[in-house]
Parts: sequence; C-alpha cells; structure tokens
Amino acid sequence: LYAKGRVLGFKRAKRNQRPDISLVQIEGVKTAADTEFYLGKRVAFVYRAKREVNGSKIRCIWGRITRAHGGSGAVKARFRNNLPAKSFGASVRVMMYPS
Amino acid sequence: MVHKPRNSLLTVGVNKYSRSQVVAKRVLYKRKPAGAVAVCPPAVNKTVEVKGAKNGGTRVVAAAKAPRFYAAEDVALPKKNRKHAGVAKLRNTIVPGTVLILLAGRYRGKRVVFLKQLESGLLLVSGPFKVNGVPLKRVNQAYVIATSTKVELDAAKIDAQLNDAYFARPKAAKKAATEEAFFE
Repeated sequence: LYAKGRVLGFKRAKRNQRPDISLVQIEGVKTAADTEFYLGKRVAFVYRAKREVNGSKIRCIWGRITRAHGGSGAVKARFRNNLPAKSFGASVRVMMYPS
Repeated sequence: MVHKPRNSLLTVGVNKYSRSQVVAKRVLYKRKPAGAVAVCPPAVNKTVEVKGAKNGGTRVVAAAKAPRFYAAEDVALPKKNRKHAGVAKLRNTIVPGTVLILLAGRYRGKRVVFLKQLESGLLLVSGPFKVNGVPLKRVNQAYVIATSTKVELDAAKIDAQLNDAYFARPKAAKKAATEEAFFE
C-alpha cells in the first residue's frame, strides 16, 4: 500500500549540497502536475542494520513529501533525521496517507 | 461579547483613543456585572477541637497548612496548554454506507464499510466482520481512501452505545500497596 520511489540525492546546487532535504523520484510520476497528489504524503526509508533495536534488525526513517522538484515529477522530501548518503539510489516507500 | 472596535489606528503605533479613553468608552460606571455575588474571602484561620482536659478545648489553626518543604530554587512551571485541535470535518465523499479502503494498521488494504463519525472525529467502521474479518473499529479519516461505492445502511440501526467511551481502555485496578505486593 505504498508507491515506490528512489532517493536521487540531496538538494544541491552544482558544488554545495543541503542534506536536510532529499530528492525522491516516484515511480510513474512524470510531471510536476502529477506530483500534487503526493504532496504531504509520508515517506519511509526502510533499511537493515546488524544490531537489533527493539526486537528488529529493520529500521526506518520517516519523512514527508514537501514540494515538487523541477518539472519532471521529482519531489523534495524532508525526513525526521537526514537520510544517509548511502541511501542514494535506494528505494523509498511513499505511503498513501495522510489521505 | 464581540463589539465594534472601540479604537482605531491613526498611524503605526498611534491610536485614536488613549488607554483611559478606551476604558471610559466601556461605560463601566453604568453597568453592573451580571453574576455579581458577594464572594466571601476564603477563611484564613479555623478553630479546631483539641483533646485533653487541660488544653483549652479549641485552638485557632491556619486553614491551609504551610508546606513542609520549599525547593531551594524556584523552577518555572510550564504554562497550561489552552489550544485544542478541533474535530476533523468529515469529507463530503464519506457518507454512512461508503466503502472505505484502510491504508494503515493491521487491516491495511481491507475494504470496509463506514458507519458513522464519532464525537472525537474518528470514523466508526466495520468489515463487516463476517465478510472480511475487520471488526467494529475506529479509524482516522486521514488513513482512509473513500471509494464511490456505497452500501444501503439504516442510520437508525447503529447503536447509540457505540461511542468513544465504548472503545476506551478499561482502567487497571490499582493494587493496594501491601507488603506482599512489594515483595512479589
């Protein structure tokens, strides 16, 4: 019950990057007009770690989609904690809520 | 009571009427406050009966006891929160009998029938249980997609007992602090 997305990288200019906001490409979303549905939706970056925390080796960083990025359907997302740079190219779950 | 503004701005920082002029405009000298009841100030002292033959029978004692302990430093108390979120307005696509899709929780993905909105704003929803195993439950509107499919429902049939209090957790009985309980 989520749309698949990919982390493209941090918000950046040519030589400086701002890691507090990540860029996400949502599958199937090709124009900025299409992104309107996804604004405000919650995003989850799910990853595995070696150490167990609260009974699970799977961890999650939650965030929200804040605005469109460019004209081709990419989107800016702000996470509770910044995404690690290791996440570039990794999948991200774009939930359908808040509806 | 809302009133047309008693003052107006001439320019930034300069009002037409001064503070005392605005107060005079309220014409307080003519008005009597509606619930004006003579309030007795709380009693400072009280007389208490004292046992013992030679103790004089009664004693005058402070009505409120002074605290036994004063903190060394004054700690600021957080202010009381006066803001409360209002009840979420029901989307106009959600009507009793609408089939909803649950987006999160144990029953995510299940299609479910909307029964009514409760006083807290949550939606009362049911599978029905026999159909898909979703029991009577409360769901937040934000975690739901409304479909255009509607089911015929008799609004009168939803029991009035099904409200937020029905779903409240039963309070665990407080165990008396007995010695056995301490050593369990």
